[in-house]
Amino acid sequence: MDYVLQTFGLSKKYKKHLAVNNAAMTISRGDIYGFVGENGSGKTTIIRLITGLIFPDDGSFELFGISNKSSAIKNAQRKVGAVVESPSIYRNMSAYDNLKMQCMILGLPQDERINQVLRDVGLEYMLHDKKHAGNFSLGMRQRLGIAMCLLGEPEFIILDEPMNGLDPAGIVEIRELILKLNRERNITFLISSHILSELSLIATKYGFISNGHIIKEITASQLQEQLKKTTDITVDNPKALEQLLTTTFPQSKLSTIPNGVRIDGDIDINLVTSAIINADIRLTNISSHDSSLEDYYLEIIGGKRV
Amino acid sequence: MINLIKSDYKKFFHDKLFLVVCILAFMFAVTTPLLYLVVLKLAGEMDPVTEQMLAGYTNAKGQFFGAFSFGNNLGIIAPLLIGIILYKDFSYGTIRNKIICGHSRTSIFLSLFIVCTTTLFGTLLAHALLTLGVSLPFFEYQSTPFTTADFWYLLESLFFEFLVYLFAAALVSWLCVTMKNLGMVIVMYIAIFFGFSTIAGVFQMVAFIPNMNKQLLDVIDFIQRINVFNSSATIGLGTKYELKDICYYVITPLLYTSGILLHGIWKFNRKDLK
Repeated sequence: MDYVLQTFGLSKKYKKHLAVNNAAMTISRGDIYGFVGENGSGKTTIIRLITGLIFPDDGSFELFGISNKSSAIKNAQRKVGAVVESPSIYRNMSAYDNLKMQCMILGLPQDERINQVLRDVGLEYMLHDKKHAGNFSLGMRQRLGIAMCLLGEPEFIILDEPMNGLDPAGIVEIRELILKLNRERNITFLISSHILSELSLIATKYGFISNGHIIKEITASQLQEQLKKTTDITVDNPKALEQLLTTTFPQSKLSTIPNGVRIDGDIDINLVTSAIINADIRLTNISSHDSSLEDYYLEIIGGKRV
Repeated sequence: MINLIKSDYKKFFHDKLFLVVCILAFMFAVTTPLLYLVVLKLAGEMDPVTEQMLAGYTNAKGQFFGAFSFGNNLGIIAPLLIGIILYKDFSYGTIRNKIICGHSRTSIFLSLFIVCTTTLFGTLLAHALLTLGVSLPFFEYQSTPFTTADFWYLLESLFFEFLVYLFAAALVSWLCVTMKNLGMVIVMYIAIFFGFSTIAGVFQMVAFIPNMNKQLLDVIDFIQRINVFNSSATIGLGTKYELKDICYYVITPLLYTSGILLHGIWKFNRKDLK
């Protein structure tokens, strides 16, 4: 397996607070890794550790197979682009000047790439605009931050809460940009986000973190298999319904809901409906739905809210 | 590191605060000689004490080297303002861009230091040259004719001034990478500056006390000489350097600068960044 990132027992302590505790995660080339955890769970600390902004107290990590303890890690870091927390931009410079600065830092020739990345993030209209980045909306700053990431043509992009401050149209654009870069340039992504519904639309793998510890890693397809389907049925006589379902569908898992019953797992709705009508029970509502990434997350962290 | 230096220069020259430094340098360069001219005209026949106080400024040479003095207008303000520009990399979080793309912390720190040194000394030199230019129509360069020895003395003095501002740039860069916020950078710079300046002032007065113990005077002289904040005020005021002067003016700032740089590199390589 071609790993972009592997962490081994990574730990970080701030005074007495253990922010990251023995974290182990793996990201393979081409993954869009959704990093999920409550506030203060250690997501940003792990991102800071792997971007070299802070140093681990214990454990290690490998970027593109190069250990953080090796001096060659700098070469691996050159393949990484990241927006950590808020985009790092010069507020007293225009979008173009910020990108020019980043080109200088990376030692890149300028104009062609700048035009390209501004187009990529939908900021092409800012090419000749002298407006200072400090006056940009949060959404524009996010896009500029991503544009700066893209300048160095990274193979691995880390985005910490990239949807923050974006309007619905902006969220869709960023999502599509991530998918496009992943599909066309095989760029690997690590994305931390609180908007789990958004993550579920793009992630190919998830890492769940709580109290600084990676509690579960799961691929999107494995998650799909584990997400439960439930069917809620409400009727005029819930007791009769429960009795009917227990006898007709003895293998189904039932639970009580107001004026009805919930069936966990796959079930043929047509069969259930026929059985109810034949038993002369008045059906008021029947609905079927899949549990979401949010439900799954809440379940594995023990019901704590994000 | 060349890429870092280029980007740091761009950051400097793009910052409006640097324009403020340049405007201040121009303003002080124009007004200072004219103010001395007015003071000297008003003073007329001076008593010996006043004459001694103004001795360094009654010629263009004194005003030229006075422009470099740490305690002079621009000498106080320029390192502070340049420090504020430097710190923007930390307050904007743009230092992260440099680290994430693989630049070593040592080269980031040294790049800041190099850019700080050149812009600081460059500004002070431009300020001093402009001061000289404004002074020359009103004051003679010195009371004696300008000789080759004076030329070498001028070059030596400029080199010593450069070493003083090398130390100032190291101090400012060190504060930027070790302090937690801009407020602390400013407070610490002012505290260090006034702390050392006050020490220099106090010892200057103590040295004037009559019948002072010779050994104590030697100790005071030594402390004054190793106080870089004080030495910038004495460079260029004579006509010739003795070997002892050269040792102090070269070794002291270089020792301080290397100590500060080494500590800065060590500290920055261990510092957690937001």
